[in-house]
Amino acid sequence: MSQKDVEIILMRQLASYLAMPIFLVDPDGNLLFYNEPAEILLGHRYDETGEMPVEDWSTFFTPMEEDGSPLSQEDLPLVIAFQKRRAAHRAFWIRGLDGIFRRLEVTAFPLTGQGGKHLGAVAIFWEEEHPL
Amino acid sequence: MPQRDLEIILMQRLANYLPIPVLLVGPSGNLLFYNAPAEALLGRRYEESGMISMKEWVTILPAIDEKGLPLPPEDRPLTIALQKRRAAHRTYWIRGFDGVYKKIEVTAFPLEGLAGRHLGAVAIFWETGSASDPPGDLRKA
Repeated sequence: MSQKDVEIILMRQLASYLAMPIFLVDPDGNLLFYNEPAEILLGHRYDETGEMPVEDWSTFFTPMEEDGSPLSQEDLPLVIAFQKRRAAHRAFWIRGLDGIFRRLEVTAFPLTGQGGKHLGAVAIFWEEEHPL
Repeated sequence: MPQRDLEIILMQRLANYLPIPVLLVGPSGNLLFYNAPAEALLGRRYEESGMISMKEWVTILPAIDEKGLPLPPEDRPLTIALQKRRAAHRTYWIRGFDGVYKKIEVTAFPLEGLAGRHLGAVAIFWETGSASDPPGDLRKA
């Protein structure tokens, strides 16, 4: 594992103690860490997958608008946060690998370190379950 | 100082490293901490303000919406995160302790510990403008 910035280490440590699903990505969108509550959303354990490139983790679920139409990747709050370096908030649906439709409310914000260094972004999820 | 939960300590430590304003409140809305960038935004050092109640901080840090109308406390993202235990995001104006009006974008989220412990809420701010005069309709009042 490459050496991580202290902000990333602290964010990861904090996430591991929190009950909300949390994703942490690097400046390129590669998944650095997800906590235990997020494992349920992804359908994978972090211990099994480790860090993942954006091309891999983005295929684990299918994001949809409220009307069921596909939600493009660039409209996802986490993608906005790491690409545009601003906070974003949105509700949308996903269908996970387990086939369950879930309505998620997501808040994502960029992680900026000292000297304005772009470290990545964090997404926090709130879930409502709607098995269809 | 009362003993704090580990999650609060970690959040405070993380906030100390971030160059963006971060404010942390406890489960009842008492202001627990804000970092150095938030001190610049709010116009007062944390050591000077200390732990103040929610009733106090919503009064001494008035919020104004984009039209210049007072923003009720229950519509502020931090209050929503705290009371409804969900994330909230909004752009509005505040008048800091220094009397300067600042346009801010705020993302707030609750801090939920394991075993359903409600630990408080966090607000992260992005300043998008400032003015010595109040915005919008409030100026005309």
